Amino acid sequence: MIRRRGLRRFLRSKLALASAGVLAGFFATALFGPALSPFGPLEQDLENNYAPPSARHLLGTDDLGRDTFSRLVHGARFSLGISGIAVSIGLVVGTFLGLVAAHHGGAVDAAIMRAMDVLLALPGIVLAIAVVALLGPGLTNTIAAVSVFSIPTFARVVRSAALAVRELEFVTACRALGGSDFRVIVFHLLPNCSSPVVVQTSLMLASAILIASGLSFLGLGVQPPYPEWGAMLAKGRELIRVTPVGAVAPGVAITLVVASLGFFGDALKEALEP
Amino acid sequence: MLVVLFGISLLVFSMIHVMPGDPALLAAGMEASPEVVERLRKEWGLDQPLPAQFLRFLSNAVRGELGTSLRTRSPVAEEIAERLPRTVTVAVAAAIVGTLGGIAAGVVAAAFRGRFGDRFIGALSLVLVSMPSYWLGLMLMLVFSLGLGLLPSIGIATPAHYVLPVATLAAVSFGMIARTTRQAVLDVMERDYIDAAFARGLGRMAVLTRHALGNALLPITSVVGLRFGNLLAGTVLVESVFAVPGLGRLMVDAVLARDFPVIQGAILVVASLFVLVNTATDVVYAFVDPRVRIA
Repeated sequence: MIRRRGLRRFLRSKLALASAGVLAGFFATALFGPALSPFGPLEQDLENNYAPPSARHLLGTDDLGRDTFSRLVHGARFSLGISGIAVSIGLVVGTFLGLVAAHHGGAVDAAIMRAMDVLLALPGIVLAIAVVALLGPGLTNTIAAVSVFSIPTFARVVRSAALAVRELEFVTACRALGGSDFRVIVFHLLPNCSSPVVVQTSLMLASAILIASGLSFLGLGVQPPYPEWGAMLAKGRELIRVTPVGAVAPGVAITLVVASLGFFGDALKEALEP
Repeated sequence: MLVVLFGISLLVFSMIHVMPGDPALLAAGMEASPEVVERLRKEWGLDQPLPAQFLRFLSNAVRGELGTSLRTRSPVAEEIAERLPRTVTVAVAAAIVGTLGGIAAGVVAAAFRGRFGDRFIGALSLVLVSMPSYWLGLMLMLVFSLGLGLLPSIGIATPAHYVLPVATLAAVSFGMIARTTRQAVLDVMERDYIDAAFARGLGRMAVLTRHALGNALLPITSVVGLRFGNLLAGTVLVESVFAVPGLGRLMVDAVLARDFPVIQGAILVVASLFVLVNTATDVVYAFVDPRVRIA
């Protein structure tokens, strides 16, 4: 759905291209990095613990002699994977709820949107903590928590986009021709929501990474020994006096990804919604 | 607002019923005799129908009766009352610092539009907004307490202990408020009355602060309100970094210990504060902009 002019504008923005490049780099790292990284993420070398950065251990080692660089590379798969899966779930569920609310209106709309208001009334990290409190910590429950966090925003964005086209002539025409609810929703409302949804997905991925790594940092998300970036930072906090590198590196990775997603989302918005 | 508060209490109430396992059994412990569990169930009204239980929960919550902690056996309300002031202190101080700093930086950026000062402030705010707050806290700790030895790192023994947590939280707000202020001021600067002010011979600084900033306050107010709500939530993470025994830390420890009454109480308090602040923002908004009051 990217219009030509929008695409050209997107390609001209150096910042947008740079952030796309950074994101591609991290994505490739998550996909192929684990196979190429010099050490395993859980591989211990107790004689070489607290090693400073060197040619062998680019970012040094932690208290168990695990290679920080390798853990960071494997962590990309955890951190990006968790937010990717969680945002996909939030996208599907939220879009469905938003479309249903916009299409039916009345009591259905009110019920769905009030429920979304309640979820949005809780600050993101608190909502995520509440979900973890119910389900318990762990990888899958972190994904569940982040999905729940992302659903209401998608529902709102999709609903308002769908409401804008609901009364347009081509939708009325479809209805007049006897088009079913399904036909109206899938072939007319859904395609017209795609631009705001694409923009929101990019921004939501950024929030999802912050929430997921925040949960893990608090000890409520991905559990040790797995190298999720937030969990690595929690470890880095403990060892900050001995090997500060461990407390610095994962944060740089998170900041780079989140900032790039932000730039990328803003540029998409410019390109798609002139 | 009342609808949302009602919804939140319903959500918090249902937590204990959605989770797997029997709350009474969980509280009494696995080895407890059936009689003890039965007594607890009666005591908490768990044998009554759900709507009756919810009404009871609601009326207790309104009276500040939040149950007893499973871990410490002391009333949840007391545990929260002990920690809440620390969280609020950090959040309020951070809000003040972040707002004043952010507005000042935003005005400076607008005044030097396109030049070095503007670019520097722009880049700084973007980086601050993208950083996880807890990581920024770790970095500040690394530099100012472990590196330079200027400030204490963890705990709340002296006022100096509050400096780093407040700075960490303020930084995130600073970035957002600076960006909003810059944009708002630049938008206002294009109006006719600004040209008129310049035409009357007023200096650049006078126009910026007296004419532009006043009219730019509207979008700034809404961001400040939004940020303050998020600051309360942000303390959850920052308290963990600096070992501040506040409400956020209480919530996290309660989740780790599966101490449900405390989890429910803490979430209820944080969420209510968040909603109240957002409502207060709307009220302030009406004061700043007379048009909203009429509409």
